[in-house]
Amino acid sequence: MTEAGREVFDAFPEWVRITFYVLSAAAIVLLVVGFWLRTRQYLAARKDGRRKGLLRRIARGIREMTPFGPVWRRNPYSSVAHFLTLSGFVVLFLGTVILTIDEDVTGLFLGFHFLRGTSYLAYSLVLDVFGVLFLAGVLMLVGRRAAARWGRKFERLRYAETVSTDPPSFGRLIADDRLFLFLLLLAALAGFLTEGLRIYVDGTTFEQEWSPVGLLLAFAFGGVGMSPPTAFDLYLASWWIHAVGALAFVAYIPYSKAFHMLAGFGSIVFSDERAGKRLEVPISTEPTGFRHPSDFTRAQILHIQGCVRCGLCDDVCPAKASGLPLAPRGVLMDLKQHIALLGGGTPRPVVGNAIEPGALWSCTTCMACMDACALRIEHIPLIVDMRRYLVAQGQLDANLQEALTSLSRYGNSFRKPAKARAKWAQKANPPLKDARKEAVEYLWFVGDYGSYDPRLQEISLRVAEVFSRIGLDYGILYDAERNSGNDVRRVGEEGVFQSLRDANVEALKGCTYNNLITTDPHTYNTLKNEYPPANGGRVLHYAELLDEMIQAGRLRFSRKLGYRVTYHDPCYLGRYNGVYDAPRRVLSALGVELVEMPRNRCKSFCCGAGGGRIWMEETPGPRERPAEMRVKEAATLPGVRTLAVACPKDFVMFTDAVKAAGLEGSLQVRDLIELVEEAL
Amino acid sequence: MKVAVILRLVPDVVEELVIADDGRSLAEDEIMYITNELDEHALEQALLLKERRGARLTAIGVGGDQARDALATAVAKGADEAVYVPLEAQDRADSHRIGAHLAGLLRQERFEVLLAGTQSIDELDGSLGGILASHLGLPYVGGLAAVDTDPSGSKATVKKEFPGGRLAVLEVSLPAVLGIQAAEQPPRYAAVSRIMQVKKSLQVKEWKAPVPDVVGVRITGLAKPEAAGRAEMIPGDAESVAARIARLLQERGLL
Amino acid sequence: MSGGVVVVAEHAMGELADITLEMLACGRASADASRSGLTCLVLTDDARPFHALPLAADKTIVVQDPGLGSFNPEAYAKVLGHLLKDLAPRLVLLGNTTVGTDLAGPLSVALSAPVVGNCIKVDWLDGKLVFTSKLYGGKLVARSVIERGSVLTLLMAGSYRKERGMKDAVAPIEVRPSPVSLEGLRIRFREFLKPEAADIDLTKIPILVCAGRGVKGPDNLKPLRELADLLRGAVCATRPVVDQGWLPRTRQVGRSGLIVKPRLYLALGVSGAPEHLEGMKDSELIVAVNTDPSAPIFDVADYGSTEDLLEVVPALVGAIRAMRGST
Repeated sequence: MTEAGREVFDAFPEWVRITFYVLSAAAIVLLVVGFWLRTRQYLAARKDGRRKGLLRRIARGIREMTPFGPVWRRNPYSSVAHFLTLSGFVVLFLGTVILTIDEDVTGLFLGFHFLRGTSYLAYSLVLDVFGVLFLAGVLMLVGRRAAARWGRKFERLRYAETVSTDPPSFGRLIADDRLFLFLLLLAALAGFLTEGLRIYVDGTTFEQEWSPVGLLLAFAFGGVGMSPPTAFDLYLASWWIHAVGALAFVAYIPYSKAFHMLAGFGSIVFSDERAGKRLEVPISTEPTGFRHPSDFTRAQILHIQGCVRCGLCDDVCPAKASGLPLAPRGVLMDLKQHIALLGGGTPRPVVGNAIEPGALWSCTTCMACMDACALRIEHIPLIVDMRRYLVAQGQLDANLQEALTSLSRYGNSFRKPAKARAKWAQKANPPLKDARKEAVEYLWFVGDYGSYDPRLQEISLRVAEVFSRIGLDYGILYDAERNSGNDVRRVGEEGVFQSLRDANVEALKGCTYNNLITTDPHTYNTLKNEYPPANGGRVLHYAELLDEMIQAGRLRFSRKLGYRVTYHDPCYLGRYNGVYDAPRRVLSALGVELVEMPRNRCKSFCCGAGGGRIWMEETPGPRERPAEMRVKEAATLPGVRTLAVACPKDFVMFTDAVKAAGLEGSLQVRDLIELVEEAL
Repeated sequence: MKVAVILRLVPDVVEELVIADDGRSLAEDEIMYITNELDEHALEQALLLKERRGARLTAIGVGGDQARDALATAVAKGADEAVYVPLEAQDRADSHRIGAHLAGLLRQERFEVLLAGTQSIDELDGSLGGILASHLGLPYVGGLAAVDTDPSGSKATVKKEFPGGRLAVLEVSLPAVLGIQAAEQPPRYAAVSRIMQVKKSLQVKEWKAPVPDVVGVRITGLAKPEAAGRAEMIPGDAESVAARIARLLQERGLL
Repeated sequence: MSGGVVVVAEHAMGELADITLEMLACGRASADASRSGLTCLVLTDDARPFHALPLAADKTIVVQDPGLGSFNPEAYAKVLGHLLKDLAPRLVLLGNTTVGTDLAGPLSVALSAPVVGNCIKVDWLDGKLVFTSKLYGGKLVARSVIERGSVLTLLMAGSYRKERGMKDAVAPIEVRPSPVSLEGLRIRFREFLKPEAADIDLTKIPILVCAGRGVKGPDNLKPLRELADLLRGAVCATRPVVDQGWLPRTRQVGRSGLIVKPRLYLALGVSGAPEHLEGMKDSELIVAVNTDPSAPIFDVADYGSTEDLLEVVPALVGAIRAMRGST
């Protein structure tokens, strides 16, 4: 042949062609069946209204698969490897499709081929280049797995989950992981080999085919003096290996990890920006514990199907780090197992069957898992939904029970009367305005800890002092304030959350104010995301307020605190609501030398009190508590003796942890407001 | 087998107790009502009995409107039936009055087991259970930490607490009134959303009979204990307090 | 002897319980104030241990019957109902225990006499009986007056001094059979359960560190144990703490647990409900730490603080160590 182009089966006996088509048909049948099973799971779930803005969502999905997405920040190696593999695969796949159309559609039915001449040359070059990129990506992934197996990197690729009563066989999972990579590697290598042999056998040259790799290989074969018959036999064999490997892969897709190519994409597309920050209301007052397929939303099915067990979530989970029985990845894996069994036989709740209650109660809702996930899987709503089931069943520890009873009755978790909420304010001078009676510019929602805990009452008084000194027009709700309900909701007690929220909203209705401020990030999250819009005003954390006051020149400091300080980003302020810079600007204005924690901003490591854990019985994991790990992390920073916090729970947890870790002389935990007061 | 449990609504002592102007009672407006703690245990024990023996459980709520909430909670936890017995504030702590009143209700239906808390936080005139049992002509034993019955509901085996922490096993022919000190397990939790759901559809029977004119004991004076503040309070922060206590112990030769 | 005072004795294993002596002390004072007689009633299956007791009663009546071997509320109520109708006393003293409280209601209905519970003091005023009782977990004190007729009262442990329930001479004793048949009772006493083998006998430990609800969790018991070890004492608990399972029942101090009288009782996070106070109010030195300044524990404590016990305890451990280190 003189013109550039490819005759696909020209050199092969007819039986090859027929067998190939038969095998292809079989592969396609398996593929379709597998797809149908997966789709059936998806359709059996309930709709969740996330189709809105589909184009924008898809665009986001595409963007996140590139190195411009979130994975690059945490894992550049994996991000590059995956992108190379993905783009290579997509191009090679499209290449095969084009070839098939050319051969079996236009060629067969319309009598012409379009992959000829220049178009073919371009085609062959692009495919070769992307083939190389694909191979590079796959080799990087294989290398990573080898490093995990024999070295100490990428430990998350070795499984060590402890969440379920009936863990999946890790051997099977590892086999799936390896088979997936193996088939890809096989396809790439066999593909190039086949190409090289074909070129050698056909004797095509560069003029006819812009396939640098193939041409190079052919040259090498020539160099070793391979005889044409041998080459042809090898070519046929290699072609079969590639064909069978590829068909096997195709058939394998819906039954394996490879399905994430679709489900994972879907998982990103149908994820919600506000997931976790704003939890969904339960569909019924009687939680079923995910007993039926329709208990899952379609997006959740995509999350569960799409999860590739990469373990990025496990790596950042504070509960797992302290040895508690929670592994976010394990939860997903168990849900995967669970949905496979759904719809057949008697419905069983997932909790207590596939997933242990202990695992669910270990979660601090810090959101590190969701932030780290490459597929934007929403772990926290799943965990909260399962907690709702546990609460409905009454399966909660005695301390949590008491706390919830106290919250329900007294509006606080301290078992103290609601009337005693503002006792701390009696010491404030000048007295704090009563927002129920007077109009204020800023309504300060103090929060439970700031009102009832003796250590934090001190901090509240300092805040009041600073506010007064800068001439802020503010007031508090006094006895009408209730716990905002953020953690109550995340513990799974939706009923108490709603009654707390309703009570607070009612109290706020009677007030005249412009903005809401709070000293507690947990309160901040729920007021901002889960309460009805506040009067048209904004919800501000006091760090944001101080930042604004500094920018406006209303807050001036008389001195610069010249010492070194490190700052812990609170989970509910940072990861949840993206407020990273305001506190930093405040610190900068204070003149401190800010030394960032090794894990800062979105990588901040939770103190362990969230998700209602501060109310539960202490069941520390076998390793250190998260708060102790964190203060030790702070202590590694040279010249830093102050750990600045902006959350009352952080204050309590880190103060206790400093004592427990024996760091009392060397590290002091101070609230942002204490530093502000010092500099005034 | 039919079981009844009596839930009394009493003042919550977590809140501040405000004495009324008459100096003999609590200021009604300031009272926050809560289910008597030992009655919560009685309810839990009743639920355990229901689960074990397949009994039918009737919860009887005594007091003001809050009793309806207590009944909803009881049903959310598993009670089959709810009866509301309204009672004026001044009667709610009077065991004799309540006992005579409930006797009328309880004579209408045959219950094999009647459970109540051994005492309530506001009663001055002795246990409700004993008085009720007397009116009904039934045996009574209180201070119980465990109750079980035989499958036919003809007798109960109970564990009674004695001074010094000793437990004894007694056998009681049913029907009987039993006073619970502690249920075999801590009272279970009922999710608030379930309670609210129950409230919406709950049919509560009401016992509207007139309250008998019986008085247990009349209080002539109610006051804070005189000895309040008897302890010498140590000022200062935790460190200073600890230092003072340590010195104290040393002075007394306790170190 | 109508119009007098009657004490219904509580006893176990042949010995009168301390509460009986306290009731006799109270009864003696009452009888003297009203110029009437004091009778002690003992129901038992064996009268012998009670023959020669120097009780402060004017007379002891022992009702002996095999059916009165162990406390059976039905048997006791039957016998007492009968006896008290004959004796027609002005004041009947019962213990505010799981024994007395079983009897008060039935006797009240049988005799048509009122009951005054939670009693800590009985006074006479112009022929009227004035009672002082604790209410609302000890947060308030109630006064009631019974102008005439019989009245039953439940006396709380620790209200009167035992010694005053005894005198130099032995009171005349009369042994009688049961006035009523004790056959076919609907309540039958089976047996006492063997108590759990106590790891230690709290009543013999001179220093006790008590964990109350304010300790908040079993994890916080660690510093308390440390403190107890340092002081060569032991950790005990209030009922709610034991009910939660943080400590075994053998460590429970109070009405349904142990009565202790150590040299030092550190009440940490203990509110001071009457049931608990009964168990420890006679300790030589009581130091209480509770963030609630109105907690009733401060009524019996010698020293108190409203600081957080979780801060005070480690600080105290440190202070004691320092003190020991320097001596």
